[in-house]
Amino acid sequence: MSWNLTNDRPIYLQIVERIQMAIVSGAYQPGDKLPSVRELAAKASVNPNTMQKALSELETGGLVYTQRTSGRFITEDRELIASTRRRLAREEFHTFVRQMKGLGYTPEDIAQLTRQLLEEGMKIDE
Amino acid sequence: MLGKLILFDLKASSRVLAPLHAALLLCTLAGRLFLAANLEETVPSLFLGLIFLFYFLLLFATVAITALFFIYWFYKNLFTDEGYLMHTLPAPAWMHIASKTIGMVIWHIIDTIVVGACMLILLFAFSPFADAFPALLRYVSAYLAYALDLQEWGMIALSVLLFLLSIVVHGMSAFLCIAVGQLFNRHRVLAAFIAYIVLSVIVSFASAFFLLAVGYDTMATDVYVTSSYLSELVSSLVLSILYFAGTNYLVSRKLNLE
Amino acid sequence: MSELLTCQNLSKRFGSKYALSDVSLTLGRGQIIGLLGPNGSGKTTLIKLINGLLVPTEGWLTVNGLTPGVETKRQIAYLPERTYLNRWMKVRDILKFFSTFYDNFNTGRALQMLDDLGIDPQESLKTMSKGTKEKVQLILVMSRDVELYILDEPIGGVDPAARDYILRTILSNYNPNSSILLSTHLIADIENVLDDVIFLQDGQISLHATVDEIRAREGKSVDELFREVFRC
Repeated sequence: MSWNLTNDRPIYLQIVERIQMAIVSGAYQPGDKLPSVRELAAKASVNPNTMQKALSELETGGLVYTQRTSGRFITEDRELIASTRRRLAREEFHTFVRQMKGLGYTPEDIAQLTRQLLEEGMKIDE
Repeated sequence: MLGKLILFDLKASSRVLAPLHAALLLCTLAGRLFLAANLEETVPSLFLGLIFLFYFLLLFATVAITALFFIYWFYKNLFTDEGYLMHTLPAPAWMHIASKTIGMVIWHIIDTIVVGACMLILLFAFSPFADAFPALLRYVSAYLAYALDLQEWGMIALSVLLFLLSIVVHGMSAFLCIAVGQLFNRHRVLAAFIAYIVLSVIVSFASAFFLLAVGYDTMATDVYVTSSYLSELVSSLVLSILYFAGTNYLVSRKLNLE
Repeated sequence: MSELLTCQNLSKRFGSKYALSDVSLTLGRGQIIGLLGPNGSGKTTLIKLINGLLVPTEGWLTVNGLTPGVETKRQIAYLPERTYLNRWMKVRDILKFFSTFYDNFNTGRALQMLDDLGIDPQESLKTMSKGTKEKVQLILVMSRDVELYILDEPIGGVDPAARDYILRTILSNYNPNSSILLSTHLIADIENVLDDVIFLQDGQISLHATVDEIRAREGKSVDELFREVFRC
């Protein structure tokens, strides 16, 4: 996981997003054990307290839980992961639509363009 | 902690002073052998003169460098960049001052012994001295026995003490002046020198004044000697304490590292 | 003592000029704090005061509840901006020096870090480049197990690879009982590593906040904010 942290937004928020992405995309599997706060912080080159704050946020959201003696784990609640994935996808989508509307596309144009580009994209991949 | 500091100062000073003294001893021994073999007659006198000159320069340098080293070291180790290391050690200011004073005394003693030994070694090359030596020895031991017998060990102890104290008081006056010099941001060494001159003047005036005030007249010889020794002792002690206190105050409260 | 460092109305005057005026701050444990400000802002004065190298003109400060003295010096590891080591010593001698005078010096850790950075303990300081000397000094400081680390420009004269190593070392040495006070100009490089940031301007604190607070409030990095605030 590459930690491309930008410098104009709070670090802990960016970390929350990155870890969410990793969970949702399957890079972290449900039930996986997370490294310690210090290890994660060192890997991301951030302050351990900031990393701690981000992990607490994720715990509040339920994607991560702490087992008192064993450490932190990714949730096994696949439904939660799936719903988070849907939520993030919707957010990406809304951002995309907003941008396209800013370029002057109507919803029909957007749907048509999307279909067209996806087909082309798949042909290149094959 | 004080012990550790003293060891450190001795290690640092030995790097310079030990080779110097070793060289002096070696040259002395070489010279002794040279004289014993009567080689001085086979060598042109100009060369001989140069050898003597070299030897006395070495002797002078050894004594001078020993006398001055700790003053230089006090400045360099405590008031240049190294001061950032030394003053953040878990040791109070007085310990640094004491450590360097003690190191200075130790090396002065070594120096005195080595120079004395060198002189003896060389003097032994001359037969009048070598011949007279047993008699000299007997005289000295007789005097010592007499003195110890009469419990004049006080005088001997006093002399040794005075010798040590004079090292301390002169060294500490230099330390104080360095501590004063470092108060300034520029020309710190120059300020230290000026402080030294000022201090010498003050001390001279003060002691002259004190002597006059006490109404000092010449007394009977042995009393004179003892009392002048004692007064010397007391004044050295008092001055040492004052210098120490002053230096300690400046170093702990008025430290000015660049 | 839960507060590691407390300064209350701290002022330091040199002649007629105040290098620090009325500085009050508290630093907790387990934090990495950035002390930022241009030259002449009072950073060095504050650092010297904490180290007991200067005495306050007004106000007071305590480290672990104690006035700066022998006990606080035992618990503070200080990396000054300058080379403060004896030129004639070898690295090995300096390790010996530190372990002699500090009972909390971890020689094993120091040797490991020297090895990581490819520095030979037999080397003499005289023959080292400036960058290597700085690395050695940093290793010495980070090898002490203390409660307060004060690093004055630790990454300034070092190449980027060593810089990363140093930051990683700082992070991996992190423990919730100790704090690190970092003074630097290279803010962009270390922002992510800091908890709190203190801006010092003309001897006074103009800002004391967390990095994330600043980013959330200003929508820019601390580095950018700094450039704005201290624009020439």
